[in-house]
Parts: sequence; C-alpha cells; structure tokens
Amino acid sequence: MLRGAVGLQRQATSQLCHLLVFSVGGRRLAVKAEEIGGISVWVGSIPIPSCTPFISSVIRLDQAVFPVFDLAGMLKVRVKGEQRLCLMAKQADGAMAICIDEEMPVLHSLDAAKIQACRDSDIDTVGCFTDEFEDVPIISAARLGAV
Amino acid sequence: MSLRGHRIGSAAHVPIERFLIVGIDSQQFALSADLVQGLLTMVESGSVNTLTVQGQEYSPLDLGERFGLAQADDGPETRMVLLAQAGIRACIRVDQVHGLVEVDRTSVLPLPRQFRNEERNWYVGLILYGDGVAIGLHTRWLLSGAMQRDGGLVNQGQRLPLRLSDRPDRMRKGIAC
Repeated sequence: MLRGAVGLQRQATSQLCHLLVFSVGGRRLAVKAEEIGGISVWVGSIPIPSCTPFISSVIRLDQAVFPVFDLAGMLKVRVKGEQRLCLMAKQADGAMAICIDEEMPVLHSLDAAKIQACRDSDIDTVGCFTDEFEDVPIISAARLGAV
Repeated sequence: MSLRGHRIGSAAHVPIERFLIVGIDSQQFALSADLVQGLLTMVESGSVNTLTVQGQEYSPLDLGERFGLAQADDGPETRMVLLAQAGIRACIRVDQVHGLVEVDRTSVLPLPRQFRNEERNWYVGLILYGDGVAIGLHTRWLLSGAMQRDGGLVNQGQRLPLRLSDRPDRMRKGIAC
C-alpha cells in the first residue's frame, strides 16, 4: 500500500530513520513510521462535545472507538479529497485517528543526520528534512493532543 | 417512532444498565433509564419553562446550549424528557427519542483518555448503538444545573410510566429483547 521513495536510501552504516510523509489540506508533513499503527479509509467521525483542543470526535471501527485528533483544524486547513484516509497514531493512552488527504502517504528512509531543527514552523515539530520539493516538518504523533 | 428496547451484549452474569437514547442536533446521547420519569410531546408540555407534572416541578435543562449544539425547531419527534433523582427534577428538550437499550456494563466504553478536560466529568462513557455511538451522560453532572433550584426527595412511587405520550401503550410492554 505504501510506496517507497527512491533516491533517499542511505548506506547501511548510517542510522536510517523511517518517515511517513503525508498531506493534510495540501500541506506535507512527516511522522516517524514507528508511531503509526496503520492507514485505512476514513470513516465518518462522531462529534463528542469536548473542551480538549482539537479532540472533539471519535470514530467507530467495528466494536472499538478511537478519539480523533483534528490535525487539519490545528493547521487551519481543510482535508482534501473525496477518499480521505485515516492515519492511526500510536499513543501511550491508546491509538488516535487523524484524517488526512486522499493522497497516499509515502514511506521515506533517510539518514537521521539529515533531520534538522525546523525553522519558522507554526506547529510543534521534532525536526524537518528536505526532500526534492521542500522542507517537510516532522511531527510527533505520540505527542499530538498532549497538554 | 417507538421505544422498543434493544439489548446489546448477552453475557449472563454481567450487570445490565438501561439507557434511553435521545437525539439532539445530530448527536445521540444516552440517559440512564433510572433517571427518566416520563416523556411529553411539545403539545402536552406547552410553552412554559418549568413543567409541572402531577404536582411536581421540572426545571428546564438546555443540553443543546451546554454543549453548543444547534437548536432545531420543534418537530413531530420533539419530546420533553422528565428526569429526577434524589429530589432533583429537570426536563430536557430532545429532537428525537430513539429508544431504550440494555447494555452490559462492560459494553459501556470509557471515554478515551485523550479527552483530558472538563468533559471527563460530563460522560460516563460511550455506548455502541446501531452503527454509531451514543454518549452516556453522567447523572450528577446532568442534574447539576437543576440542583440549585430543587430540593427534597423524590417519591419513587410517584414515578410516571416511561412512555411516549402519543402512543401510551408502547412502553407498558416493557423492553423487548
């Protein structure tokens, strides 16, 4: 399901970092692959009145219910596409769903040394890397929604 | 519309809880059936703020306002739900009454821990209902708005039959599982 990006493989001696690059409202972001539990088709969310910022709905998958983090809301964008996708973020408190654009995420493997501190980022990041197009902020899925 | 009961889960020795599922805006909420004293149509309840039913006053609780939900106009499915516990009486206007459900206590899913703020005091948990989820409202929180106005103990013998007032025969049949 995930396409591997070409040209970013590094020698075995370097420390590889596996990142999943996805987009929300056309904005490209990356997350460490180890923080993602899966990707599936987005199912409609169920609103839950809440005071917790950006967490005010859940999704139901079979007999389980997962909270939804409104990453698009945090970025002040709207998720794009008819066939939106659901990114399941692993968290200490349990999995949390994130609605992302329909564009299929791409798995990147790159030398960890290529990850740099993010400049001028309006969101909380753990760094960024530069691909052939632009600087891509890396967010921590595990910390999303943490106060 | 009916108030037929549905049973979710079938474990023999698990405590059962009963909920009345109601709709406000596009959301489903679950009220503990122990609280529910009766249902009134909007014609029966009239336009008064505080309802007086069988000599008991029920103060209005505006759940829509508390949750910031859209206020729909009165429709044929709109009902006033009468609630009481430990002397606190209140009524809630709902857009629709979906029905009664019996669920195993273990089927009431806890609110995910990522919900970290005040809402943890509002909900007892999430109840799988149909293809969706009903939000179980915490009794103490629910009645807290009316608590300051009322006093005294409710005589449980005065409880009205839980029924749809336009189809009074339905609820007397009890829960069909």
